[in-house]
Amino acid sequence: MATLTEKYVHAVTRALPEDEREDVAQELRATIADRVDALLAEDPWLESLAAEHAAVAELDDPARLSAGYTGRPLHLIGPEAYPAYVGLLRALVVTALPIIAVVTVVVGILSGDHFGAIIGHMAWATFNVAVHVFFWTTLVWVLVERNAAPGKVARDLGNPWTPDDLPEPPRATGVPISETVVGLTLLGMAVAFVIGQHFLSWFTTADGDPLPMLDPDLWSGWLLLVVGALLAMMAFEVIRFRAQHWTAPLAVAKTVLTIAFAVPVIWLAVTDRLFNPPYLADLDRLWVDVDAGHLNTIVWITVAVVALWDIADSWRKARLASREEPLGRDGLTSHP
Amino acid sequence: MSDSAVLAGHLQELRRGTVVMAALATLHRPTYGYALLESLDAAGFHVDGNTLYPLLRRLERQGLLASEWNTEESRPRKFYSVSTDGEALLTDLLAEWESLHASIERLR
Repeated sequence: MATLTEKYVHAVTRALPEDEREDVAQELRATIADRVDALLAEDPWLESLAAEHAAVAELDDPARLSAGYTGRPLHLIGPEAYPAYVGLLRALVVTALPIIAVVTVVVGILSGDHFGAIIGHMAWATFNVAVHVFFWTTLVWVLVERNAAPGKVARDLGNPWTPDDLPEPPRATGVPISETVVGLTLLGMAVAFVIGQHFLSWFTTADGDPLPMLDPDLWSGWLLLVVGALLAMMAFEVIRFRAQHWTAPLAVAKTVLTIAFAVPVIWLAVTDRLFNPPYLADLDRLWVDVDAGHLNTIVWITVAVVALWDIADSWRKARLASREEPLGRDGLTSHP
Repeated sequence: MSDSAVLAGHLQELRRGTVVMAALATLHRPTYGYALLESLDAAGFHVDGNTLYPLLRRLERQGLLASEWNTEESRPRKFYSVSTDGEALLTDLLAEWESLHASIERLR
């Protein structure tokens, strides 16, 4: 069996260029032997094998020493390439993954899969794409990192950073008019839909009257609350635009309004009371393969996600605004 | 006042570049790797073998050190000595060292 020294020397030198290997090996043998002698001189009771073990252990992992001789990096992606790497990964993840998720869900619905199967396919496809995105991006970056001259990695990747790359910071103070217009439009469309679906419909009753999509019995209570909440949210949009500033009370109001809208809708959808049963029956006849009952699931998940996002977003902006307060209008600190 | 772990970290950063100067300064007498490690250690430059030995090779590749195998003794050893280029570099590094020191003193 080879001695510990020989095993270590081999482990260090096998990755070195042919012409350096023997020279480094000879020097390393002498160095370890010198260290063993020194250790034995310090402690005469030490066994020589134990001294050899200690001397080799001090030199640490042979891969590390070997990389020291060759100058090879001991990382996959170094600090120079890392920001561009993470930037690309983030861009791919936020664009590719949602697209894959939506496409698989739509394909699943169109081919009439069960709800569970659709979710399963979506999760599996998204996971697969995520793994591929991570693997291939990382591989390309590692190859660039290994082949580019030091200090030139960022240039080799094609886009050195410039100040023009800076994104707009999230605006907490100041509510752009576009945001208010979009919000009012969406809310107005929602009100128009809830009221309009009662009078206009794809389907008609046996008497030729339009068949409402939402259960008409709900007009005695629930739908009034929903429409009321939507109108209140429109008023809120106007108030917030005039305030031009998120505050904790505004965030509380937004939370209450969102809950007043979302909770009834989610509860009605989950308990299968939102849609008009004859309407669903007609829909079932039209979509041969698809169970119209999935509409309930789609509605409650969508409403829940949007509501949670809205609430979280308003609190985040209110917190940002409270922090920005000491800043001047131009964003500069107003130190005396 | 200064936390000992913080101090140790900064001292390590500060000394990293000085190992090259210490090695070049020591090697005006030809010396082999392990002996250099011991004399640096005795002078207060604690450097690991797995840092020093590759460093010697790198300095040799840059023409700052010359080397020669000594096979007269029973154990053949590779002796390094500073070259003319290495001497010039050491002078430049020491001048920079002095000017850094002077600048910091002026800033205080």
